[in-house]
Parts: sequence; C-alpha cells; structure tokens
Amino acid sequence: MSTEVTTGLTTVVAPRAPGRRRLAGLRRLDPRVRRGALSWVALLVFWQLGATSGRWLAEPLPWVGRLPAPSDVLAAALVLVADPGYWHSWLASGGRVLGGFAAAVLCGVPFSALLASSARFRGIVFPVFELLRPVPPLAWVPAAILFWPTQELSIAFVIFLGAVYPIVLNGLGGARSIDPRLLETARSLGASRWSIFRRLLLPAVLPALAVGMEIGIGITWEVVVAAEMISGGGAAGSAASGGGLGFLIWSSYVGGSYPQIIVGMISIGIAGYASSALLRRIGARLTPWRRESVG
Amino acid sequence: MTATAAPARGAIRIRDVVKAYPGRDGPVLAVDHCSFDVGAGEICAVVGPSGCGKTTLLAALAGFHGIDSGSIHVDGQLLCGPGRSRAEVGPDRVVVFQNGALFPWKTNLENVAFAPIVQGRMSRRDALDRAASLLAEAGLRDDIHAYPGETSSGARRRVEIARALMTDPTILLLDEPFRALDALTKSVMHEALLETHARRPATLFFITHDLGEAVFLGHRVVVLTARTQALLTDARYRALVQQVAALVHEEARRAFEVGDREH
Repeated sequence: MSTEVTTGLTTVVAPRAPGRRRLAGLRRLDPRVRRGALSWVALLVFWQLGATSGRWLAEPLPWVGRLPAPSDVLAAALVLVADPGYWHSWLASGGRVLGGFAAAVLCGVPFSALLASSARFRGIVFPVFELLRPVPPLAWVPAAILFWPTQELSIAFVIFLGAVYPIVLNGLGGARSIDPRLLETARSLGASRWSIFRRLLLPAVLPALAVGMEIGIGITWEVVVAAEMISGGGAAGSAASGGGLGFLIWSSYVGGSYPQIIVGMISIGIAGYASSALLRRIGARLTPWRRESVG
Repeated sequence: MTATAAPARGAIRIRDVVKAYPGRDGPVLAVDHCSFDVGAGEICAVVGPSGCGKTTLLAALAGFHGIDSGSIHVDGQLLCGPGRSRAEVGPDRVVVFQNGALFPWKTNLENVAFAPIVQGRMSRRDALDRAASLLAEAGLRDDIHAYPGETSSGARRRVEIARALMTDPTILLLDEPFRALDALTKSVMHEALLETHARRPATLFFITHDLGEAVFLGHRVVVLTARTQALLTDARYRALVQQVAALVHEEARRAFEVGDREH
C-alpha cells in the first residue's frame, strides 16, 4: 500500500507497491480534481439511469425520466460537432457577446470614471441611470428590435445593457472606496491631476472593474441566449446558417430534437465558464499586487 | 548626531492659528490661538489628547486644509495666513500617514520612485536607481521588489519614510507613523528615524500619542491641549528631557539587544 501525505492542495505519494498502478495514478490527482470527477460521474450515472427509467420501471421517474439520456446527448453532440452549422452558432453567439461586451467596456469604463470624478455629472445622470438599471435587459428586447435597423444590432444592444451595469457600478464603487489618504499623498508628492488619474485612479479601480467585467460577461451569455430565442436568431435565422447557440436550443425544441437542446445548454455552459475564467485570468494578470488576497 | 551641515531650512513659525470645523451645534474649535516655533532641522514632537488639533495643524502645514486666522511661516515665507487661507500642497512638505499610505499596486521600489517621476524631475531609470539606493540605505534591500501587501508593517513604514525623503523635503510631517507597531519594532524604527534624520536633516513635525516616544525623539516637545498650549522648551525642561531620553534610549537598546539574542 502506498503512503500518502496530503499537504494543503498537493498530494505527495510515496513509491507505490507493484500492481497498484492505476489506484496510485488516481491518487496522484489533485484531491479537488478527484472530488470534482466523483460528482460528475455520480451525476451522469443518476442521469443515465433516471432518463432510461421508463424501460426498467413501470412509470418513468418524474422530471429526470423525461430527459434525453446522456448517451443520446453524446450521440447528438457527435453529430453536431461534425456539422459546420453548429460551429457557426458558436461564432454567431460569441461574436455578439464579444461585440456587446466590448461596447459595454468602452462605454462603461469612461462613464464610471466621469461619475466618480464629477459630483455634478453624477447628480445629473445618476437618477436616470438608477431608474433604468432595474429594467432587465430582456425587457428591452422588443424596444431594441424597434430602435435598431438590424436584428444583429438589437441583440448586441441588449447584450451591451446586460454587461454595462455591473461594469459601471463596480467601477464607481471602486473609485469611491479609494483611500483619501492615497490621494492626499499623491498630491503631497507633487502629482498633477493627470498623473493622479493615470497612476492612482486607474490602478485603484482596476480590481473592482475586473470583478465588474467578470460579472458582466456572465450576464452577456444569459442575455444572448434569450435574445436569440426571442428575435429568431438574427438575420440568418436558421441553425444551419448559424443563428447562435440560443437559437439552436430553441429551434431544437421546436423541431423536437431534445438531445440537441442539452448539447446547446452544455455548449453555453462551457462558453460562459471559459469566458469568465479568461477574464478572471486577465484580471489577475493586470492586478499582480492582489496575488496575496486572491491566491 | 553626526556632524552633517546644519540645515538652514525648514524653520516653522506658527502664530495665533485658529481653525474651526462646522459641527452640528455650530462650529467646533479644533485649534484655538496656537503659537509656537520649530527650529530648522529640529525634530518637534507634538503630543496631546485626541481632538486637541494636532492633525489639524499638520493638515494646515501640508496644505490639505486651510486655517481661519493666524499665520504659518516657513523660513520667513508665508505658508498660509492673511491673504492666503490655505497652503499649497507641495513636495517640500511631505506627509507620512498614521496607518501608511503606500500605493498597494506599486512595488516598494516604485512607491519610493513615485515623486520624482510624477514631478518629471528625474527619468524613470534614475528615479528607480536612486530609490533602490535609498531603500538599501534603510536596510530594505530584500523588500525592494515586493508589494507593500507582502511587506512587514515596520518595513512598510520605512519604505514610506524613504518615499517622502525622495522629494528632499524641508519638512517631513509624520502623523503618528509608528502607532500600530509593536514595542520592539517601534524602538528599532526610532533608531532608524534618528539615523535617517542625521543623514538627511529635515525638520520633522512628529505627531504622537506616546509620551515616551515624544521625549525620546523630540528636540522639542509641544503639548497641545484643546484650549491652551504648554510649551516645554525652557532650559530646565530640556535638561530633564536629555536625562529621560538617555534612560529611554538605554532601555530601548537593552530591549533590542535581548530581542537580538532571542533570534
């Protein structure tokens, strides 16, 4: 039997006895990975058994009994992966998210800087901002379709709305929580207004902005899916020509190909997770002084 | 103290300064007709209970607040007073704050190099070089590339003093800089401050709650009270201070040596 020393996150395994290779290989995995894998396997087994419960029980189990089985989903996924239309959907949704999110960053960051630095501007603009903020982005969809000349722009606008609020609010919060002594110190050390903005305000707000962006990109994926469902997938309007992942889910539902719905859902899960993780990584890279508190 | 040329600059003359803050029941008097002098290059320790106006005076010297009446002169030049209610904020009078105000997103080295870079007085490279040598002088060679968040509190305070010294200030305004430190670190910091002061003489306006610290560090101790100010500057007091300072110094040294042995 191999002896195991667990220190924090890493597991150190002493030289293993012969014939125990596979177990030792499993053991060598990070315990977090091991636990995560365990819950995935449990979920899949439960799902597979539950989804096929109609075959071995008199009545299918409620809820899970109506789901397509993971084996069917896997089969559908293999078909979809070979279909260029599926990848076009990725590109379409990804492009919309990227466009709307980029617009939200480009508008949101200077806007929050203005709000933070001018009490007059804040006084004029903030009441309207606060009134519009609780309106969910999806409530804007019909209006957006009316406002904008193309479907693409309407969807991008709704995505923009989803991302811009967390960015602005976090930026503003970050700017307002700057220690006033840092400002006084910078002035006392001879910094000009511009230096204070560039060397003090920007880095001081960066951590809060990074959090705002991470929240914002998560919301964009929520929004893009619903916007595509409602608007009918933009100009293209068909799964084959890339209506987007949201449209893929909806058209799969309408067309009765249920395993495909699950493939679409999983795709969005992956996309949202990957983009959040990417932004978190970028945020951590941009704010190296927070290593201690983040790690 | 080493035989560095005595600085002719940094003499502070405070006369009849009054400053009130708006309060709920009318204005609250923070400084009431306060007058005293600090000699050029002196270490002036200012003690007194909370709310006696120590920090208000410091902020007036730094230019963070104005004063209502009276005047403050530095080297004969009007800093604030009649015709100028508020001093200009400038790098000749740098503040070191109570809990430290290092920029957390800059390394210790970048913090120290900040002032000459933003003033456009030195190239980035020169500023970083000078900052590195100043930090090395302060015994902080190992902390140069660390962020303040990764640095011990005593070392952070030294970094901050080094940062202030980079501007070659005539007056260094210290607002209870060693308050949060443990006793041993504090006595090490006292030594370090005296050493630094001997090397780079500037007038130190040093606010503290700690009477021992005031007596140990101060060439002059100003006791501020909410109403009147007692000035302990006469010869008898100074002789007494010398004695006490020698005793405190001895005590601190002994504590430090014991600490060293225990290491």
